[in-house]
Amino acid sequence: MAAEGDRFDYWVGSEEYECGLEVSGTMMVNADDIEARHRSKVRQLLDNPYSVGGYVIVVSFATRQAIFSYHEFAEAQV
Amino acid sequence: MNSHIPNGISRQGLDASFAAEETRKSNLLLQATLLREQGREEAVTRFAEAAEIEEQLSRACLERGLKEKFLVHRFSAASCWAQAGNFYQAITICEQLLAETDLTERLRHRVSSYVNTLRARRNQWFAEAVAAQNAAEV
Repeated sequence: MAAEGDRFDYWVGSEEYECGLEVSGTMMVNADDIEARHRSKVRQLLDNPYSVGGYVIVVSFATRQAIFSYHEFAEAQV
Repeated sequence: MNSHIPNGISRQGLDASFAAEETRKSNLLLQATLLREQGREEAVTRFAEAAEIEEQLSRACLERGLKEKFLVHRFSAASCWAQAGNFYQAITICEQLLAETDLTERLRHRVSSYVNTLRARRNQWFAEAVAAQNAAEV
């Protein structure tokens, strides 16, 4: 589990390296709204203080859809 | 920071016992967060136990030369102490982190911002304590 202020929820990875994982659930039904939530969560994860990349998953419980993606950290992205 | 790769931090050389302690700490944090949301005082104990584990994990990382992971656990220890209500320990750890010469600017900014928030919370607590004392003496 990540700490307060890490900007994502969990540290995940292999035995050698670890990166971030941000998880978000919503009751939104509109696809544009869900994608906007996903973009917002990607920005949040990449704003972490450790300059690590990671995974973002946004789940719509209402539509039973999920967006799952991986993002490499790059200073210029943030 | 020779352990840095662009998109992750190294945990090379850490064994199963280290991972077990990380799991124990995560479980404590999850329990503490849930207990806090329920307004239960046991949350404080869980945060303090998690803070002590984070301090042990940070020392283990430093001994293995994993500087970035050391910083992650050290900063997390400060966060856990703060959530346990121990502002003194949390601020002390943050000040020690800020004294590190090889902090990235991003992390330095984050730690600096966090320690300012902690000082503000502590000062607010002081002010409320003084006001309560004064009210009791009137």
